Parts: sequence; structure tokens; C-alpha cells
Amino acid sequence: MIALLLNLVLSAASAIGFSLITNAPHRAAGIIGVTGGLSWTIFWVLKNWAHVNILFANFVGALTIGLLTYYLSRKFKLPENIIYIPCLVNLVPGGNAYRTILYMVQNKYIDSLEQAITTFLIASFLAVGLFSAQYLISLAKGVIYFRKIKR
Amino acid sequence: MRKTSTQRVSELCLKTGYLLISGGAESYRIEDTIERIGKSLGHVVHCYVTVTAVFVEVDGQNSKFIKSTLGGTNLQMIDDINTLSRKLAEKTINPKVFTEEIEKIYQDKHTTDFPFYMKAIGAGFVSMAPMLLFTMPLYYFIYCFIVGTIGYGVSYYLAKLSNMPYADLFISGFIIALLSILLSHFGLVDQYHNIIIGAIMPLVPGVAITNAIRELVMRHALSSAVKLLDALLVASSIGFGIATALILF
Repeated sequence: MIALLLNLVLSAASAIGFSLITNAPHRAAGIIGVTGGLSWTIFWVLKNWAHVNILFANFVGALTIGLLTYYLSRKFKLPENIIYIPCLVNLVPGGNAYRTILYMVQNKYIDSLEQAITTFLIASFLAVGLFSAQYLISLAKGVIYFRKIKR
Repeated sequence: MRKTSTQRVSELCLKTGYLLISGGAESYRIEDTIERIGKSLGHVVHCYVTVTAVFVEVDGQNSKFIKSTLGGTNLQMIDDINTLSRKLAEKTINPKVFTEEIEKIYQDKHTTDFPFYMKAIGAGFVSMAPMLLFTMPLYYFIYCFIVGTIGYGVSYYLAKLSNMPYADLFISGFIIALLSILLSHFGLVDQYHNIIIGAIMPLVPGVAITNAIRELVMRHALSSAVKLLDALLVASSIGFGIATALILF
């Protein structure tokens, strides 16, 4: 339980930290913290407690970011871009990208290729997660629209 | 209310586009914003944005373009211009005030900015996140914080000193790897690889990658490809900096 709390706090701090680097507006800091913390915690719980595949965990994390961003950016009148960017930084596969270079330097080309493919897969699953959020929202909008027309 | 002349509108739209590109917005959002501004000023504006240029045509008479450069992130600027254009669309400010505000931002090329020490502390916090994934002991977090702060500071000041792209990231990657290897030399940490992974996190081109993916999904393939290539070059220059340090020591 303490580990969960630590994850929530530190990932929120990390998202807010990246928002400081990219000079996000002051009023967005709290929103970024909530979104970044929640998405990372969901990813972490899925990976460490439910033991699902890391690709699926990344997908769900990105989906959470997408849905929360849609809601919060409309509510607080912020561009979506501002919330997306700092929150995604936690989920970026930095470790795999680093190991790609490391194994390349150590002349382990097969291992390096393996890590490169993993990096690419994780990154593309993050993209798929973000896109699915947009798609789900537009689908829901379409359903609501057609129901109104019928009446 | 008198209509603003097409000449003025085209200049205004160009400046807005230039500012949004230098702030790091996605190109489809820029096109949307500019066309909305034209609509609320009572003109039909067509706009085409690539990463390095903005083309604007007003009422089929006046067409112009402006050159801009890749790189740079300032989310505050995007938010400012967004707020201004929303207010213009809601008619809470008149076009004259809007023009003045845009001119002011365009002259300064500067918005409210965080001081350097705040950014450095933020970079430290970003560096700590990957340690959560590896479930490291707590003192790793502190070393990672320090190394990440130093690495970000180096890249920040080198980027101010010279305009050469990619070189500053190479050097800061080198310094981060060097510091981590030194830490393990003195017996402070066992696995310096994890420290390096954490400390490079603030330098990762997150904005470019995220924007590139979103633009690719919205079928703006041209600007997406340019941004993706730039992000790849940034990432590999950091990687080669680290690789140099790993080979040498």
C-alpha cells in the first residue's frame, strides 16, 4: 500500500517536473499531476500486481491519459497538447532505448536488436492507446448524435 | 463594426502561426486556430502549415508565407494564444486588442517563464520516475535526482551559448554517463546503468515524438515525418554521447 502511494506521488511529481521544463502554464500544474499520477499508477498496478503483458499495461496507461485529457482539457479550457506531453514522459520506454545503445557498444548485436524491437513495440502501443482514446470519444459522440436525430 | 483589411488579417494570421510553431503546437491545431481567427474577424482564411513555413490566403486575394525554424518548446505561448483566440471568438475582446496582444508577444518572443532553478528541480523529479519501474532502493532516487539535475543544467546552458543543434545533447549525454560511472567507481552505487536511464529522461524529445504521432494519426504526414526525423536525431545524439563515455571508461 505504501508502495502504491509512493508511486502515485512520485509519478505526479515527475509529470509536474516535465511540465516545468516545457514551460507549461501555472494553472495546468495540478491537472497534469492528477493525470500523470493516475495513468502511471494504473500502469504500475497492471504490471506488478496483475502481471499482464507490459505492452497491454502501456496501452491501458495511454488510454487513461487520452480519456482524462479529453475531459479535463474541455473542463478547464486548456489545449490538449499541454496535458498530453508531460504525462506521457513517465511511460516512455527509456530503459529499453538505453539498452539498445548499450548492447550495441558491447558488440551484442542480437540483444541490441531485441531491445530495439521492444522499444518500437512499446512506443507504438502507447500511440495506439492515445489514438483509441480519441476514437472511442468520437464513436461515443457519433452514437449520441444519431440518437438525437431519431427523436 | 468596420472589417479589418485583408492585409492586416494576413499579417496577423502569419504572426500567430509563427508563434504557435515556435511554441511547439501540432500543425493541424495551428491551421484550425488560424482559420477560426479569420472567421471571427469576418474573413475567409485558408491556411497550410508545414513545420518550417506557414502559408496563408485571405479572401482569395492576399496570400503570404513566413519561414520558421524547427525546435523549441513553450507550452505557455500555446496556452496564451489559445486563450486570446477563444476570447476573440466569444467576442469578449475586440480585434484591436487582439492584434496588439499578438504584436506584443511577437516582438518579445517571450512569455512568462519559470526560473532556471525551478526547471532544474523539475528535471530532477523527472529523472526519478524510471527508478519506480526497477524498484530500486531509496538512495538511488537521490543520486538520480542529482545527476539528472546536472545533466539538464549542462544542456540548458550549452543551448544558450551556441545555436548548433544536437551538439549540446551529445555533450550532456556524455557528462551524465561520466558522472554515473564515477559514482560506481567510488562504490556509491552498484548498477550505474539505472542511474543513466533515469538521468537522460529530462532530455528525451517527448514533445516532438508525441506531436509527430498525433500528426501522423491526423494524416499530416509531411510535418510528422520531419518531426519524427528530428526526434530520432536528438535521441541518437544523446545515445552516442553515452556510448562514447561507455567506450572510453
